[in-house]
Amino acid sequence: MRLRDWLSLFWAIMLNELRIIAREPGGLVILLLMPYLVAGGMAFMASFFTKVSGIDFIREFIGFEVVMVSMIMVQTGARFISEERSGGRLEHLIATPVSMYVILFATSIVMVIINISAYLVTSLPVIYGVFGVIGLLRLIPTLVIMFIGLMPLYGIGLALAGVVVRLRDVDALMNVVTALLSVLSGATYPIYILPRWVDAVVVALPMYQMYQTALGIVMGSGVTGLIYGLAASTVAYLALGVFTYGRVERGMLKGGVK
Amino acid sequence: MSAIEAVELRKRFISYERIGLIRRRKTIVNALNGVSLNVKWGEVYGLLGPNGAGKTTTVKILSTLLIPDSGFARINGFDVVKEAKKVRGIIGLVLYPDKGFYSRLSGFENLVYFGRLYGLSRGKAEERARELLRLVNLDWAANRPYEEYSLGMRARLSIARALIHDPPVVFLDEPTIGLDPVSSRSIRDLIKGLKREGRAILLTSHNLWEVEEVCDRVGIIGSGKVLMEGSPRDIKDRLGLRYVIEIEIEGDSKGKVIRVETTDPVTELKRIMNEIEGNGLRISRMRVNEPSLEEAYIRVVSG
Amino acid sequence: MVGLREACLRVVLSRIALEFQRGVRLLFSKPAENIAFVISAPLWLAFFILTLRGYGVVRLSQTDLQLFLWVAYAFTLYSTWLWGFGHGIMDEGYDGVLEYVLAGGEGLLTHFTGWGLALITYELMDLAVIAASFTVLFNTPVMFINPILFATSILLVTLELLFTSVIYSMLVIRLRSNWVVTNIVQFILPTLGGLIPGEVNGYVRLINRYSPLAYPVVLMRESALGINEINIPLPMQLLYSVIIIVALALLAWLTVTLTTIRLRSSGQLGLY
Repeated sequence: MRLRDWLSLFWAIMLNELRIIAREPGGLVILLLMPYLVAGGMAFMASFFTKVSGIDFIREFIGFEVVMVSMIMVQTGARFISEERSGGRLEHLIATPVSMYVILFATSIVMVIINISAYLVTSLPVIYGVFGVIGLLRLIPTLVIMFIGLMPLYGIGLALAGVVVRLRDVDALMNVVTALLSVLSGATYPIYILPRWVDAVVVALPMYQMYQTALGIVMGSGVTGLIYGLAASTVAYLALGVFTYGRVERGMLKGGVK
Repeated sequence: MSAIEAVELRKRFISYERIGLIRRRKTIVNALNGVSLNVKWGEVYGLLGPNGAGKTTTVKILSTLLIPDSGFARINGFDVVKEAKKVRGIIGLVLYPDKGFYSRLSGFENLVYFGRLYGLSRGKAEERARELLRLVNLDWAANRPYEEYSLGMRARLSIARALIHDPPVVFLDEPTIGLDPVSSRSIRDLIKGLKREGRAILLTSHNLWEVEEVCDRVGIIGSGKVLMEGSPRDIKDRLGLRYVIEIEIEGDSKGKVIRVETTDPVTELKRIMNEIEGNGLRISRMRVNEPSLEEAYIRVVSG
Repeated sequence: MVGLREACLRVVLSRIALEFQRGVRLLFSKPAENIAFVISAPLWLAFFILTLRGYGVVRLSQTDLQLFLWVAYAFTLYSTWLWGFGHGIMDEGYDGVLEYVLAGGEGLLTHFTGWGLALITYELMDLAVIAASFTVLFNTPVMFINPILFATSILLVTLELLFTSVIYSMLVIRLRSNWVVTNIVQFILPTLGGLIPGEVNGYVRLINRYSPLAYPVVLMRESALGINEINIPLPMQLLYSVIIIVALALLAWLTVTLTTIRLRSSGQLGLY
């Protein structure tokens, strides 16, 4: 297949995914409102105990954004196979000449774009309100950081897909995973209050790297060494996801899609 | 070279049954115990068998969705395991007549998407989608979301998808299950049309009347093995199933009905008619009941 | 006449008991779900407290911790009822169960009531898990100053949430997609429903005092902590709670009846 044909096919898969998401606009609205509701609600509660400044709110707002979009990416990766299976589409997708990796990658790109767009739209008023126009300019490079940072989270989701497929109760597992990853995000609290070993786990996860890098740029303090960690995480977690998915697909071909 | 060739396919599944809160019991199901079959170009091959006999397992192996434990299968000479990608490009598949599409997308959008996955350009995929929607009589519902389609419409859309890339080999796993007679007939007509185009079709079904009407050859599968194979007529002859000739005669013995069971209806009919005419009697009504495939099937699967 | 009334009551009660049994069986048919809740509840609590720390809240007094426990429990109750019912209704619609329920001559309200009462078992499990998590995480024993009033308030909260959820589930059926409605309702309803303690702010105390939906939840908190949050005598709070529950029950009955009639005439009982 020529490069042009590959790109055309890739685009067709992305367009299909976009169409499906566009048919449920309510979800997109929630994506835009949720950070305000959660960050705003928590700020409201915290205000009864301490003074909450604009900088505190920005910090927490970006943190919640990072947690929210991260969870969406992990869920997307983890649930893809089980959702296609229950919709009866999985076998038909496997039975096409297109590799499932292409379909997974194209689908993930769409989700990343949507998440980043939601992040941009929701953050604009808050950042402008605190930093003005300079804040908006600083927002642009954070989009690149988010793009890089969300891919390894999809990889983590794919790595979980094997467990999800075996367990019929997807929601139960994902509830635990979401809660655990939210705590380990390190995006809404200072991580030095955690025990040392938990600290190490948080730093190794892409959410903390993504958050700290994006926050540094928005605050104007520049990019830290964590960006290298983020690049390494992207490679490592995506590789893990690809490897794990490969095993899952081989398992399904041997044992059947049940 | 056969279009579809399967040799001694074996497949075993291991499942775990939960007993109580924690304990599990391992069960082994021998789904296929050496299935061999051959389908020629321009032939419709029916795979019959009771539930759990191994029909769907066979279809999934042949369509590259399952790897057999032993044995091999080839589609147009390509090995289903080693050359899976080549096989996928030349087969069309109906696994579930009532699902397998994106609910919120229209029939047209779904077909175009799958057409793209099969390597068609956008323009070609759209053209094929329109053509197939006309063929399966769904052009009027092309832009309605799939979730609004009735069962018959979904079944027809599944067949349209199986043909989107014009494959020479088509697998249809119970394509008419749950359909009304009109929809079932339209699908049977479609299958006959595909056969006339020279495609090889493997069909599984529980509707034996339909299989008899559409299939050139039939394989009856039971306990993971092909128990008997041949044209419906051959199978009935081999089992020695009898035709029933019923003749109502007029004349002296008015209203008398002669009933004869035979394996050679032509010869027997000639003999009876000669006898009746020889006795100066007249036939008022005559019926020849061919043994049904259902009788043959039941005889084979129940041993 | 009295005999007929008694017989009807017996039939209704036996149906409710049957639904209760089915509800309990279903709730605990997925041990993975129950285990997931037990594991995730303390994690969410930890996330909540860590986030407050992120806002600069360094120290929380014993009273604050106790209040947080009841806020967490109240939020869990709202989520469990709204999500459990919303999802449950949709699942029953998909599986064609609702049609069979109606075809069997049972009213949807009876069906929901029995099923809803089964959620009490889940509520008690929620309470045990959250209380245990708090005790372990913060080294703080949970207070139950007035156990009898507390038990009564749990029952009142259950009934309030049951009927609120029924009304909510009728919205789910009409709107065909529950998670959008749930996400919005999950924030508004608890705010009006006494989730936030009046201790934090005068405005909140005002909402809790004048919102009838708040009384059962506020009473639960007051009985556990031995306080009077909204400065209304406790017997009066009990009376208002009972009145609001009766009103919600009538509204639920009305909503279910109207929705059933409407669905029957539009043929949308299977939902899809």
